[in-house]
Amino acid sequence: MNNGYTRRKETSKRLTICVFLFIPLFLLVYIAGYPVLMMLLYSFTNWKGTLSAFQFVGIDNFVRIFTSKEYSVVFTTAIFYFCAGIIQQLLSLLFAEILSRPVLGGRVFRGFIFFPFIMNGVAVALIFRMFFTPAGSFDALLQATGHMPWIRLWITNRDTVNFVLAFIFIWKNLGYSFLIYLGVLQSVSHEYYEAATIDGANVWMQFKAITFPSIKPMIGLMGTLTIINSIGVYDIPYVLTKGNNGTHTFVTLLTVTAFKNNRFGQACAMAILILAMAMIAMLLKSLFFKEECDVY
Amino acid sequence: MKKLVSMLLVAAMLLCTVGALAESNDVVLTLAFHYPDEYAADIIAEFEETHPGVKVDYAYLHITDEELITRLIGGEYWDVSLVPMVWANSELSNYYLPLGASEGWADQYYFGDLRSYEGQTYALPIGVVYEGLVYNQAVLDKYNGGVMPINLDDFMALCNTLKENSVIPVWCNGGSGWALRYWTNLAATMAENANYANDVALSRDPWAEGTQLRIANAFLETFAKNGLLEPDVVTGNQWDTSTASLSKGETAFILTGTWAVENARGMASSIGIDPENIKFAAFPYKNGVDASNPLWLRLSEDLFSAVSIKSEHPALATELLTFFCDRISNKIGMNGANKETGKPIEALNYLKDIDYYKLYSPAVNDGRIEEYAKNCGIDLYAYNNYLLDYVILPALDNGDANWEGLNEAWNSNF
Amino acid sequence: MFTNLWNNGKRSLVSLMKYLLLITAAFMVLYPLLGVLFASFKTKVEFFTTSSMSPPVSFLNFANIITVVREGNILQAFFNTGMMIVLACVISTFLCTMVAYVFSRFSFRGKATIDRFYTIASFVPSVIVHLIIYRDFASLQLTNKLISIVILYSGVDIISLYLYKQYFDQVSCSLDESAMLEGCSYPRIYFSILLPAMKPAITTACILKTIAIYNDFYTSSLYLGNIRKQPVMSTVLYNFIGVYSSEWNNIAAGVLIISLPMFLGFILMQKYIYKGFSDGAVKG
Repeated sequence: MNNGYTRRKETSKRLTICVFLFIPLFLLVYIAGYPVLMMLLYSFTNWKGTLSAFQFVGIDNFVRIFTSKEYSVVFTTAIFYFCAGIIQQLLSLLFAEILSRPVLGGRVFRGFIFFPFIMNGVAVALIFRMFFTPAGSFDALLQATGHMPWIRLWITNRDTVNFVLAFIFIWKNLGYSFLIYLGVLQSVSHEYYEAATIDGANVWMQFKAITFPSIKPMIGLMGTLTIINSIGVYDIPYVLTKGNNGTHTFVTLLTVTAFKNNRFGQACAMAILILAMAMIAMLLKSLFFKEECDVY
Repeated sequence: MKKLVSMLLVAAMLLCTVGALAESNDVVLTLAFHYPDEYAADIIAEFEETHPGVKVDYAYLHITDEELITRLIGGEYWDVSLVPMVWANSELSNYYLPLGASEGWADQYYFGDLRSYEGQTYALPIGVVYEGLVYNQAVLDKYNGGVMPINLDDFMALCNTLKENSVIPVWCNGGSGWALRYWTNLAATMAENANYANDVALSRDPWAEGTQLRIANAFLETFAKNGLLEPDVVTGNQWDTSTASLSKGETAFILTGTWAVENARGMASSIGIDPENIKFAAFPYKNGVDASNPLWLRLSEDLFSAVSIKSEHPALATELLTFFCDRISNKIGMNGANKETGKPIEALNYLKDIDYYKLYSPAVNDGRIEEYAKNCGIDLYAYNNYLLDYVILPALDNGDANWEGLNEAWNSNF
Repeated sequence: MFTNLWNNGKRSLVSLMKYLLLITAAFMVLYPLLGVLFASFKTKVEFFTTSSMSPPVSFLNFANIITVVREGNILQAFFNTGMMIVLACVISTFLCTMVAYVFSRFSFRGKATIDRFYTIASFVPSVIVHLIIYRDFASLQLTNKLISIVILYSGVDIISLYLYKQYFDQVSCSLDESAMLEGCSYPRIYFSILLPAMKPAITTACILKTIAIYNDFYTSSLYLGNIRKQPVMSTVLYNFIGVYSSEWNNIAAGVLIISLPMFLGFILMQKYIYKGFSDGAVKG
């Protein structure tokens, strides 16, 4: 290959990179980068969100998140949602595994499992307030199946409320991870499984040898998303319990701190902390899934 | 095909960039309020009629403070709009037009000086309410010979009777947050001291044993402990459920403002129950009540409206503000805030014949209370969510409110 | 013979379990919806006087549905939402695929960093973001216009990026090379060779984006302002949620109505949705 061609190719390559990345990067910087920098700045101040002057307060806002009782609850709920996230991943893998093969009524079942994900958060909160309300649908179900003694005030009871919210979280989001796993699993050629069956491999062995390797990069991505989503839960607790009764998540408490308590500086510190945790999650992920380092 | 698609795209692009407002030659004033258009329609028509060449564009603020605050901070404005409840008075001059000396407004309007800073009033109340019990007369007819108790002991005894008969004595609407503020406001009423809020909240331990604030809040503790509240106190946005339950006689009392009388009557008539059953009375917080030892009845403010500093027609907008505030009150079930012309809602006319009530309006809160409240997350005198987490839920759990926790949190301000 | 029987037995046990699981899942999804389905046919009196599990007096009571369609201005809302979705999908498809293309074909300094930024960017709490950028939208006169939502959703999102990248990685580079030798420029290769081959991935990504825009009530109500003048599907329910009173029977009907187009769309598009993931995935 001659030199001129290579140089032309190099120039063309640079140009393409610049042109193709220009608008997306502009949007990235504007919609995410710039606000994050502002948040970082504000997180060291007592900014009230308004035009009035603010002072720098050092790391007070961050110290407070880790020392004040007010904020300890969000770490507990994050654990709840994290566990819910793991259950969600396992369930969606299970259903994806079942439904990736021909099953009678498969299309209908897929539709049902995916359905909650396409619903509006306000709608979901409405559905579940009718579901968990005293003498609501859930209590009716328990009664019908003879589990009367199990009936509690699901949302008022401090021991059950976070389980209820975690359940709704799974209910709403299962369809999403299900869809993604299903798509990936369907790409695995059936011949592999047929060959494996002939060789006498059982379901578990097939999963270990064929299914798992093909979905491993996706599990890495979904795992990261699970960790990060468990911190970012917002709409369901906000509409259903407004964060009362120990159900505040990072984002609901952040909203209250900013808009009800008028402490935007503090809220920005929380936002920065969320991002820091997201980064840690990604770091952990890249440690566990080293070989797929370019797959996020 | 490709041509068609691209033409469609261009059309979509154009449609998306067109705003919702139509142009016209009239002076257009914008007005933002948190009730649906129907409530304001008559008032706007009347204003437009008396002010030829002026059009009022009504914006229905359907979600909360987040939206209002984000828009105002973002530099958007309406000529006349609500003031975010969380903004301190010292913030107001950045966004709203000063309306004039606060003494003058205080003479003219109840709470005319509440939203004022450095002697200037910035916002006017959209109406005033009395705070007390909204109740169902049918329940009293059935269980108390039709009499609304005026002494505390009788009231508590009645509550216990109601509970035994599976009527919910008191619905507190804990999940709604704002609904609990009346329980805190009760403290000043019980102290029979208009300045009580300032006295107690600026002390180090507002919830120390024996303070009226604690005694008032402890009503909720007692109710929760004895199962006198509604079953689900946590789920938000249950106001309708509570008024429906009240109308049906499944709930006896709701402690709230008188705006709720009209609201609950509306619910009653829409589910086919005589709205006249819904009535209002002062909260019987003491014994031995008579004309010489009256029950105090609190006159309270609700939200405030103001004129934007960016308004291009400030004089006209100020006119619209007073015009609107004077008229909207009755429509949303509140009494007029104008001391001379403001009328109470009809359902409350009978109150003036009762001699064992004494009306008072609380003193203006010291700005520090708000500041402390926001700083420690105990939203005293604002949303009062704290009552749920510190008082009601602990009392449901193990019988006792977490007073120490409240004092400790408040103490972090000093 | 015996082993065969045993194997058959085991297999049918497994498939029995399978169906049991699926039926349980379907039940778990549908059962909570039952209350809403009933409520949407109840009158206000019925809603407040009967238990949520008791069926309505008549399933032919369409009053709520009519109210929602009329007062919620459903047709206009659907049209507006459709406009926003179409535009946002078209723009974001171009932007996402361009980024994915560059990431997949070229190596350059800062690539990994940009990559990470995209992931992190999806976790910036949006309530604060809007507080900061709303000001600019307002000063550019973009608020109260559908275009504001389009811009907000035109950015690159992490799942679409992943999807497209997988696709590009799969299409052999030799295809580009040969096209290159024939004198095609990079943009030309991208537009005329690669983009058309990406249809399944584009469909999937667009459907996910559609779901996001269709349901985002906070951004819509913030940027579009008056929901009566500028109705979109995600804010329809707010017509019936007041400060102090909510029309629950209408809300229930609204939930059904706004979910219906998405559900139908999903059923019709089902096979395309999975195709995007499956065709692009790394083969096992």
